[in-house]
Amino acid sequence: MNRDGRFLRNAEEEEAQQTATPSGEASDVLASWLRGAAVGDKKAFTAFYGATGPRVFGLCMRILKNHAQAEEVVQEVYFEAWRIAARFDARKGSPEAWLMTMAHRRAVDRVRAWQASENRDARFAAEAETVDALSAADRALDDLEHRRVRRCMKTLTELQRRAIGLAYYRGLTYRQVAELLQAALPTVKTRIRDGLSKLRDCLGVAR
Amino acid sequence: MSTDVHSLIGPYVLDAVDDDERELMERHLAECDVCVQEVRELRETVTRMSADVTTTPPDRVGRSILEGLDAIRQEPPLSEHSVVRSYRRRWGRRTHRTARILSMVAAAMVIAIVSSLLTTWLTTPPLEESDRIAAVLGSPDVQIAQENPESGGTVIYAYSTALDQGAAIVNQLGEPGENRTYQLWRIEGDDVASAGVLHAGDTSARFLLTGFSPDTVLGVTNEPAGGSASPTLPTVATVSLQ
Repeated sequence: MNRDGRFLRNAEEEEAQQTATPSGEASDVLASWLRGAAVGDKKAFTAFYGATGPRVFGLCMRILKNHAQAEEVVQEVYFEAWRIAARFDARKGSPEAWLMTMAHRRAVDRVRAWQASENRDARFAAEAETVDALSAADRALDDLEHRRVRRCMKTLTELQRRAIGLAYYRGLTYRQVAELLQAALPTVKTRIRDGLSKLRDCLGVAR
Repeated sequence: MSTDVHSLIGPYVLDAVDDDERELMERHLAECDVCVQEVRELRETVTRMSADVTTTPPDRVGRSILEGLDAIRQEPPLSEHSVVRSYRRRWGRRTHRTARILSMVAAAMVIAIVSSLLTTWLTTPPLEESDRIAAVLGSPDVQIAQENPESGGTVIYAYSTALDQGAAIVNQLGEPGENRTYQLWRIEGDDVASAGVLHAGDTSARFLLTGFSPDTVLGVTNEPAGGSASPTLPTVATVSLQ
């Protein structure tokens, strides 16, 4: 085995070891802040916002491409999180997933309402986004987590990757995705599901 | 019919369905435990994708969120009130006793950890560290300060007097540059000492801080990979509890 091959293996092993613990640890801290927020502790909630805000804002900016709109959605998301913090149940998922699910849903609702009212040409916007969605996964990222996500995205087929990227980062429905990629609806549905399952296995999400 | 609903799981998790399809899916989920489990797993998966896109929101967003909280009526827990009870118990009247117990526990932990660290420090990551960081963050008397550097990300400094221990959470700072690293500093007047070095290129980390006091300032600088003996100015962030 040449030196490069050995190095790659070691790096991946290291990655596998390191990603196993930090995310769980971060989740525990976030969960403890949420428990504080549930009984009205603003300090805990401020810390929760400090740790998660960049991720929520980043996703909203990416989907909405509008600073003012993204700021509004971020506020809505955290008001909602504060309101229903007591409902967070660690047995049902991580605090990150709980929060990001709310954030994604709200950002997508907002972009769809906006597209409808502006009678925006979704196809045009989505085409521009295809490049973005792909480069998001390919961008040079130095965090272990980022490297890992990027590596796992590469294991998907072209169609899986594009369909997931367009839906997640752009907020398109799978019908719009199918139209844009000129693929049959059932194909797109199953490719998205298969692609996500493959990502799950690659990222080692607990089953 | 149910095959059809199943195949919607992927688009459903990505919010790529319309309202009718979402309703259909949610009705189905109420009856299908296996599907609920799949949705949970795929949501965790999709959430990992969001680690890819982070942007520090302007300070005004955080301020207006904090200002708006008082107007919001919070929901009680859905089923049992155990969460609230355990939390109040920890933070309520018995604070002093809890603090004493915690500090005794901490003292015992320190003795145990010091002896084990001597043998394992260089070979394995100290597993107890994450627990001790969580203990600082969860302690009844924890003080928390935060700064968002201009270059992006967040630096949080937490300190517990009862535990006599601090914790730093460095979250998604800007990329440090090639062969560069972020380093933490304990600053007390003119007395400056290293408090930890991130792995080269990393932008997030957690550290347990020892030898800190409520008056200590936590500094973060950008240094050559491996860290430096003294900080390179300007600092990326300085966080103080005062």
